[in-house]
Amino acid sequence: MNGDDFLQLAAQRRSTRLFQERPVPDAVLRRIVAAATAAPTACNRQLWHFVAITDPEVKEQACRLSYAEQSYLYDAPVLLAVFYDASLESRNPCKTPYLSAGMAIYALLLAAEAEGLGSLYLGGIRVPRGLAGAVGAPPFLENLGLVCLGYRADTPPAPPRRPLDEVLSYNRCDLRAPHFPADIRPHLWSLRQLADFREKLLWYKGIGIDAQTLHVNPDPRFSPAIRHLTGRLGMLLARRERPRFLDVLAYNGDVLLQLLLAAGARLDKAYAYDLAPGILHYLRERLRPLGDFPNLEYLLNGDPDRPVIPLPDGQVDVMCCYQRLEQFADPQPLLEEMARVLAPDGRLVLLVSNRLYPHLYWYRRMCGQNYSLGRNWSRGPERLYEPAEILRHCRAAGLEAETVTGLQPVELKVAGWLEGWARRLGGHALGDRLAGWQAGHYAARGCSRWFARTLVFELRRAAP
Amino acid sequence: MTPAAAISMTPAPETLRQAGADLGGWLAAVRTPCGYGGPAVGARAACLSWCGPAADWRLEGILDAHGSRCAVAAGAEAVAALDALAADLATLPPALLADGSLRNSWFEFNPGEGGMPHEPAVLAAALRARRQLVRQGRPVPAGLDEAVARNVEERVLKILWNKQLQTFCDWPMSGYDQYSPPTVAAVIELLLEYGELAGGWPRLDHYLEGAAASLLAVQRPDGAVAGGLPLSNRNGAPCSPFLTARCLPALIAMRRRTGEPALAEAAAAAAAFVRRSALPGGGYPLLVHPQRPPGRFPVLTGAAAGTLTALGRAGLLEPGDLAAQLPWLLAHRQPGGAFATADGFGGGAAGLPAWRDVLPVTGWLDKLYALLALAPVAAAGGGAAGRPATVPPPVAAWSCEVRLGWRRRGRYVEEADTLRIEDARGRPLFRWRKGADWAEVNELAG
Repeated sequence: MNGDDFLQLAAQRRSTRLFQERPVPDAVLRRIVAAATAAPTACNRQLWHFVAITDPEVKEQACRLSYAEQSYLYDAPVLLAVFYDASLESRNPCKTPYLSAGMAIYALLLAAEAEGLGSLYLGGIRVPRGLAGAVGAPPFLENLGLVCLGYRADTPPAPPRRPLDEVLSYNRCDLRAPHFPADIRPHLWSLRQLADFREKLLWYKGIGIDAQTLHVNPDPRFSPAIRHLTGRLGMLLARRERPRFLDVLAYNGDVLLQLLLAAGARLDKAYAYDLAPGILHYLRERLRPLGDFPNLEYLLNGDPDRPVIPLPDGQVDVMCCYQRLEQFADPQPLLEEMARVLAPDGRLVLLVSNRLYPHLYWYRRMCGQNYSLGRNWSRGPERLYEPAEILRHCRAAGLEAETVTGLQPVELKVAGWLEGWARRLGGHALGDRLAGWQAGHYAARGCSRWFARTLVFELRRAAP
Repeated sequence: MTPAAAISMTPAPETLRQAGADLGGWLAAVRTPCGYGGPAVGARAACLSWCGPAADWRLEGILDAHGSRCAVAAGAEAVAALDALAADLATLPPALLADGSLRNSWFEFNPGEGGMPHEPAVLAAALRARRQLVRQGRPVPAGLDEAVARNVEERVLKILWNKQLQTFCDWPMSGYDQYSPPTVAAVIELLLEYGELAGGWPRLDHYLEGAAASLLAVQRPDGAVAGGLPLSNRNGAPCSPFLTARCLPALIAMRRRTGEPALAEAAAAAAAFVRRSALPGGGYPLLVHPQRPPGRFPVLTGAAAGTLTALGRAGLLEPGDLAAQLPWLLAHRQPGGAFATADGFGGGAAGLPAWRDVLPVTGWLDKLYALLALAPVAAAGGGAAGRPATVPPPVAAWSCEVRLGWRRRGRYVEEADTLRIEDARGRPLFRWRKGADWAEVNELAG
């Protein structure tokens, strides 16, 4: 093997989440582990231990006890639990046991690739002791994750890699500022940092494209706001002949995908705009397995320091921005840019989380500041706005609100709570009435909309 | 009521045929070249914005209805039924996405792809219809076989097969330790049809045996839900008579294939549960809980019809079943030829029906359509004397008062080309032009 062969092997390795049922021959498994044992280890101590889990019952127990219940863990023919005896080095400041195990794990992944197998390293085991208990590992062994091994049933796309010059310096370190800022307060970020953060969230925080994430989960428990937004957008598009549609900061493309599948053929043009090339690459890769969308165009932000949608003025008939404004400390430039490309009779549907919604999770984390980390890392950091703030910004950008709707108003929470209690106490008649009422009150247009969880602004360009 | 008395209450076959023909006319008005459109109202959610064509279980009932007509009709009527069958089958291949899922297959959660148990149910019905076309010497619509193969191979077997539980999941993303028996049953029906078409039995048997075993494993052994198949394998999950009935054809078909007596016993117990759950005045409760009183409302007309057609497909339909349900179903026939969706949305409060009760939904009407194609034969076979035909001819426009909320009143208006719901002042809250993809106005739900 020459250097090119090795580079090709390293480049073609992917995290695999869909495996064939074909078992992995024991001889292949032993060769892979042998490769791991050839990895460097501090003072050549080699205190690692690998447990190959192939028995479905043990696998089920290991997944359940460790609270690691991803479907691919069940599907992979072999789970390799990686242990290291860190008991003798607990005071070692260099953390050499973990580095040694890490090098062994990478050797495992490369060896699996060389054997034609797919692999995935899962380090986020919630309860490592549960996993250790399931396989009977003694207490001095520390679990450092699981490696899934098996023959691939999918071909996941290659995530973007940072250019070599960005990560390599000679003699003196070139990096002056954190490249992936740990700070979650968006007002401290430049647009470049936000773009970088969003791109990495998408590719590196568990939203890889595979069979599980290809489709939008249409269960309304997961995506009621997307369903509402898709419905509003579809109705707005249906009123126009061959409309042009723009998804502002399309991100993983949930809204765009739903609209393209439902109404794509009617569109003259659909635009997906976002800040970083990696995000658009993700979108392309996600849409590719679902079909051809010839009228879809990807738009990359035109200026790294401010939002610039690379479209002429008044180009777009219907536009949406789904819970993205929250990631900007100052939404004004983005709103102005949206107003610029909106056609004179066009409509912008803006979904924004509402600061006035009594959401304990948010309030707990806001702690006196206006920022909170999104409920999960797929959203990133957020700033919450009051409805009046949004309306003020919209007016300043030359947009006026045609309608404002509240999604999931606060009384829905109360009704859900009452329904639960009514059913627990056997009052199904009341429970049924409350359930029926809730089903028709997800979108509120009365006073309670101002206390809804999400606000939907339907905006048009203000008369000059 | 004694069975004999019940049978004497069965509407005459001619009445049922007339109601079926009127319903067929209503469905034709919401058909586009891409399929059947219309709003969707489910038990807990409604999809009123997207009203375009969908590949959800609405096609299952419609294809089965055409199939029933083909089987019993003769002459020009049989040719028309075959033409309709071929035309509706031809709408399926374009709905297929490259990964094997069907677009707009989530019924009340549309627009969305990958709907369960809609996709396998529709494709199994398509293969039944295909068999009928081939038997009559008609060509198979282009791309149908490839579409079914892609769905089965790329999605059902590759993505939805749960290796741990040895059965089929609804969704591969979360709840991996859960499965839903109605979905599993629909997939069994699809795989059995697919096996007949494409072969590959030893491989498919592995999946089928696991799936059938997973159905038997969750059947409730005792209590108020004895014989019922729950909504999911979670402890304490309630049973739906409608969804239990939908498992019957799969259990019977697997019994035929494997000769396993436990499957026949399970089917008999499930059918007994379904019959036991029937409400005295007609219809079936939405859910029966193991340790709580049944959650009765809404009582869906389409679900009652779907229950009877599933019993019919399993060969377990008795004249008494029809006699108990058909008068109640026909009482929900609307002047326009469609049927009301339910009784009791919003908890069955007395007074005006809720708008959800009244709004006709293609994804429920198809089940009535299938039943009305099947029932005249079954009723005649049961020796029903029948009442004289009392179905008035459909009218182009009609309206009725409905309840919009706790105390809000409104009006449902159906015209030749529009469905509309408006408030007491005449302001439209929902308006859909038949054949359009999206509603023009929707301020009601979704």
